[in-house]
Amino acid sequence: MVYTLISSDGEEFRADGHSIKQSKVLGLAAKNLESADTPIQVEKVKGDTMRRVLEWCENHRDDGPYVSKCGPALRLPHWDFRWLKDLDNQQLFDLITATNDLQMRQLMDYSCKTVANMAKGKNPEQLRQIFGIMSDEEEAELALHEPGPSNATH
Amino acid sequence: MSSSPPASTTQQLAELSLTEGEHDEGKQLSCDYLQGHEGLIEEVLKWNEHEQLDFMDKIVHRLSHYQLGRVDTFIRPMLQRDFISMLPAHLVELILFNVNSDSLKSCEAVSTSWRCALARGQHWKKLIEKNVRSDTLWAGLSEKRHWSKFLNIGREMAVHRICEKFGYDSNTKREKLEQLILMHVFYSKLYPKIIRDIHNIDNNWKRGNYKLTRINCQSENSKGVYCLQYDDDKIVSGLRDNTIKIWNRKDYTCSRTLSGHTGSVLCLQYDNRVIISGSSDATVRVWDVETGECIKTLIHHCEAVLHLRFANGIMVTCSKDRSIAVWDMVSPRDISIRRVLVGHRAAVNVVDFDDRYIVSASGDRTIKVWSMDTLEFVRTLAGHRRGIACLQYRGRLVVSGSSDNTIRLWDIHSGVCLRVLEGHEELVRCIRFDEKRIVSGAYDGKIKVWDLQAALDPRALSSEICLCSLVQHTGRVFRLQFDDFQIVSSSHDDTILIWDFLDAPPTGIPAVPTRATLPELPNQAAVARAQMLFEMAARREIERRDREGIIDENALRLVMPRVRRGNNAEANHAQPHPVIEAVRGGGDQDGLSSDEELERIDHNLAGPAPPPPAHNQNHRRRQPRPEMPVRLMQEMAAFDNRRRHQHHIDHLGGGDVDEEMPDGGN
Repeated sequence: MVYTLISSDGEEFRADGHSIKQSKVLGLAAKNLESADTPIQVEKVKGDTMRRVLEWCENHRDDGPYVSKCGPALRLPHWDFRWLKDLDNQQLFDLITATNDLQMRQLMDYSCKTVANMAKGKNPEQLRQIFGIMSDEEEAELALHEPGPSNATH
Repeated sequence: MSSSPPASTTQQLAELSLTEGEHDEGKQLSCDYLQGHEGLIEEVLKWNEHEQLDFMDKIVHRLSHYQLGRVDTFIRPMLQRDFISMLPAHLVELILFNVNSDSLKSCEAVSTSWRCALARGQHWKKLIEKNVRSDTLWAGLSEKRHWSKFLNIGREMAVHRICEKFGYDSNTKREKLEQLILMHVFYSKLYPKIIRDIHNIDNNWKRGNYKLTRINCQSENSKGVYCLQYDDDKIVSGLRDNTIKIWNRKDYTCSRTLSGHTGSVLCLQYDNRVIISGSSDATVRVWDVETGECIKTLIHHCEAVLHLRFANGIMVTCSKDRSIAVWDMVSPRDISIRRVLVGHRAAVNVVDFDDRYIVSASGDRTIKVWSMDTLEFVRTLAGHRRGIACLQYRGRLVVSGSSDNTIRLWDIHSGVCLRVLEGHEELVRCIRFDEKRIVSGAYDGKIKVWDLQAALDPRALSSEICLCSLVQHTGRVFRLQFDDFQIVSSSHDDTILIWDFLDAPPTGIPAVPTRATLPELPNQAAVARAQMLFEMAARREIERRDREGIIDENALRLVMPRVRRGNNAEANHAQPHPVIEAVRGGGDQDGLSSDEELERIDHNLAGPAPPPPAHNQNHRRRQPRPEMPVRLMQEMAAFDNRRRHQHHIDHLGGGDVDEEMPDGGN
């Protein structure tokens, strides 16, 4: 069974039942379709993220049942580790949000672990750099000298 | 890149100079530029995203290297995303569950907004709760140290109890944020305290530092305590004076004595309904654990009942009469024999089981494995040089202690011996293990604690494995049980000792550093690691055996048909079990767990086939390797020797003081 999925920004994807069963939400939506040709609107997920989600599903189509873990007991398989490492922060966060919306526990666990790994063992300064956060002092400085971001375009 | 975000990259880029050459920063922006750039920006913003991107592409390609570097510094922070602010709370929680406490501390120091988010999320509280859920050490500690009441409760209750504890006024009205911060401070301080506690306990175990409590059983004539089991409230012990005594753990007095046996009580086990005991009077008695009334007496064995275990409606007993009995327990009064297992050539000293296997060990120096489903013999674990006195079996691991003074660790599926622990100077009479430690007691009164993970790790040195020796008993140690916090042991010296590693007196050794350096979930991590090491060790052993062409007992039997087949049990199993085949092409099989490999070997699944034809169901090597004949001769000779000596075993123990266990060796 091949289904059509439409992302929030209008991109169309084809995926078969085996792949989308990784997502509880998509699986349910597919079951409730009137006909197999009706496309599934995935309102909360952008095209790029959708593409990645489907890529992951494709790679994991033959997996057995998954038991949710976290912490030291959770070990990422090689492929997932590399794949997730290549994403930048925004892509990773979009992915996490998508897995939450689509109810994909396994990918959610893996991507959260990846974010956690970025934070692990870092001191506060390093964390600020990685996640682009201003320290309290810097924020205070900024508030002193600038009225706020320019709203010229509004 | 549409027009909505303020100070977009387009704008910022537009503010850059496009000329090559010296960096113009610090120079004033020209009038021309200042007047013209707004109009230009307006134009660009009229285009669609695609066109804007194309424009950017063209511009970027004309920038100097220096300019590109500058562009990078302002694009980068725009692409970074602060996950604490951006993601919903439960996802932040999920991420932070993967982060250890050191990193959490760093996260708190990043900025006020992060600290507030963490406080709002109550991550320390959640981390503690999670650990207590998943780790028995944490759970036990939460009870014993009385901080479990701060867990799994709502905000109001938590604040109330915290105020109670520190003497704050719980009636003052506190804003929600104030409450959250109060809780946050409390739990973030509680956490390192717990870690310090765990460190302390661990150190106490390693150094053999304990608080000792001695219970003198004061038996009149025959002295000695053969068996025991404990929980938080009581210790149930079986004595040589034919009684069972139940001791109250609050004041260590004897709260009840159960009489009825006409011989020493050699073994017992209890649950929330019954105590079941075995005696040298050859009977098994079932007692009501509340009232102490003897509900039933099972008469079956012909000689002393040396050990028993029961669980899930099944009981297994073993005896000096060399047999093992499997019983169905429908209710405390309805217990009947399902099957009798024979095969051992000497007294069966100990038995253990789960839903897969029954494991028994005997004075005949062997450990036998029986299938729980079919109650048929499966395999023998051979290796001990003298009789085996004690054993425990859980998961894939069997740990045994013997008259040869050693302890052996075995993998039950393959039958390989993973490690031999030496150190005891006398017969090892009792042994137990959990995920972290092995504790053993010997005839010389010494109890030793061993590091289980190190024992499973083939790289660990023998000297690293034994953590400490505990010497307080003045007679043979007959039985012990332990958990994360204590050991309880009983001995021929008529005492029961409680070794407390939780409340051990401080030793004056410099304080443990406050930084938490232990992994967050010591048991989970330990279990995962132990499993991995276990599989590595099993694999290594299999490879080694193959390399050295070791043949096991069953293979020999096939090769030498004239060797006596003494026993029904062994003749019963229709097919000799397959010899463990070599793991060929070891390299490409690294991805598989050892479990999988053994499955493959046992069931002849597809895989790199050894030289003999693929239809060989038994994986048996038809052509012995060239160097084998000499080895074969040696094995046969040794085998014959063993068989000859076994004739003597039956007669040993006749006049022996140890009624509970014949010594199985020369």
